[in-house]
Amino acid sequence: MTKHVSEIICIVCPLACRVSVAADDERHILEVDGFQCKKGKEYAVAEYRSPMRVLTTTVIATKSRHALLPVRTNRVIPRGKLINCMNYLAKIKVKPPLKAGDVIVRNILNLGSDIIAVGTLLD
Amino acid sequence: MNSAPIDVLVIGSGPAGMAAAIQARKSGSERVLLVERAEELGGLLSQCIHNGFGLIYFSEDMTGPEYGQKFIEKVMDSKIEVLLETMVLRLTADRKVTLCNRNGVQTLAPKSVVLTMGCRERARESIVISGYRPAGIFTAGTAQRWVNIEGYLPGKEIVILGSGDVGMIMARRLTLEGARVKAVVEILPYIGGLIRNEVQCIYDFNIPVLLEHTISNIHGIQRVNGVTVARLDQDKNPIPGTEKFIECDTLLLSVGLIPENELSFMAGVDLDPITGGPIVNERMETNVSGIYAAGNCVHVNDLVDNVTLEGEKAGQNAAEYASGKASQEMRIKLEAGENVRYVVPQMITGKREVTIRLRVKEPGRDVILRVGDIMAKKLKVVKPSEMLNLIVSAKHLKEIKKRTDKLVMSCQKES
Repeated sequence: MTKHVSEIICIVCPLACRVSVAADDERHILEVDGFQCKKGKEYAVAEYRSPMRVLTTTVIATKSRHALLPVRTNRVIPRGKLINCMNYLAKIKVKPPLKAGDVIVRNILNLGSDIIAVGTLLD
Repeated sequence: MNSAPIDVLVIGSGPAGMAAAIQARKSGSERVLLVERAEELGGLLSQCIHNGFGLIYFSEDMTGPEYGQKFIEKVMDSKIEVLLETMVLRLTADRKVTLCNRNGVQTLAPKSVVLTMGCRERARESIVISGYRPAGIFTAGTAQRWVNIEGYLPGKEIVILGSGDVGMIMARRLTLEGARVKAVVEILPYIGGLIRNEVQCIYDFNIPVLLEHTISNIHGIQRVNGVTVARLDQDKNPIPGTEKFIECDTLLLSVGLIPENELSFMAGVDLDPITGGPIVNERMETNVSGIYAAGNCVHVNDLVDNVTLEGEKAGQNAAEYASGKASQEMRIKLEAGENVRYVVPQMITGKREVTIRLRVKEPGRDVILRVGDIMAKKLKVVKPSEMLNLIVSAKHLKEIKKRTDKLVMSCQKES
């Protein structure tokens, strides 16, 4: 069995601890080192297992004075799926009236997150 | 418009201005006028579509438009008078405000004024880069407006100069939209923005970062076709022989922000040469009686939440001034000492609890932040890009000796 060490920069606070996560061939975590608080350890483990992100972007607006509507995921999604979501959203067009919180795409790519408006779209 | 005199007039409706206007109404001012030169309220928040707003103020992770909307609704609900597409042309020391909009030019005489004009970006002209003057050179904020509001991509192959927050956020945004960010070039030996942006904008997308480098030449006649980057020596001069050509069609500049203070200057408001903004006391009042200031026109903040808090303080005190409460004597000067770049507020009474905001010059670990000889606080890490907030309690202030007229702030290693 080989030991693989990944370095994760903690973003919980400005300390920016460099946390090393050691794991075996099956990615089972063996040890976590270099953190200075409980939150930091939790962040590093979660980030090692599956880095999750909020996606914020825009979709094209038609029949509106605005060219675009800003949107985001209402839950975090896997980092590796950000580009897939961008490609999907490139084809989406919306029309007014829309307001912040309105669902634009339900359960995008079956990731368990909706794409919601974060701005207002007027005529 | 109503003929009663205006109590508080707020210039600029970004996060600081909206907070000031809302708080002035809450503090009892009858007539509060919010003046905005753009077509809508909210300032730059509408183009900041990324998240990370409101973590302190609302304990919630919001995007710029969502954060702005909360305050726009409060402005609407609080009977604040709003003038959009209106430019303030002149401000005098006796608070005569000359406005211009499609109805013409008029001069108002509010009882107090809050300056919340924000800041603007440094452009190519404010830094020295030799080379041609082709199309394809933008500030990061202009590119942000194009991509997030207007729906244009400024280019396909991009080099960004400066690793501040706006630069990093645009690196991610342009990558997501299909452009290729070929390098982020930073003069300093470390990245200039918040740690979460370093991780989620730069490392997440494997964007190359060139530290201790600058752009020494811009190439292209009609359109940018490349830049020359060079390593810097200790005096920040390019080292001959280290030049490298990077092909690109666009150069974005994220090289700092300048507080907008033409109006403050006109009114005789004293400006701090380091922050570029008004010198303020703990009530956010300037040296000109009845003129208050808050937000990025005072000093460039990294978090909008702090801008809102500052705006609220300015709005409350401007309302009190308008109701006839006199200005207070600010006896004690806060001075930037060893490894402190600036301190806001610059003047305090020394009588009541005060929140001090400051920035360090150099990053450090295990340092002691001192407020004169009255307070010392151990800090594990300090960085120029992360503003420090320090609450000095009334108990600490009691330690101030009788004839003290200044407290020197320092932030050094334990000796």
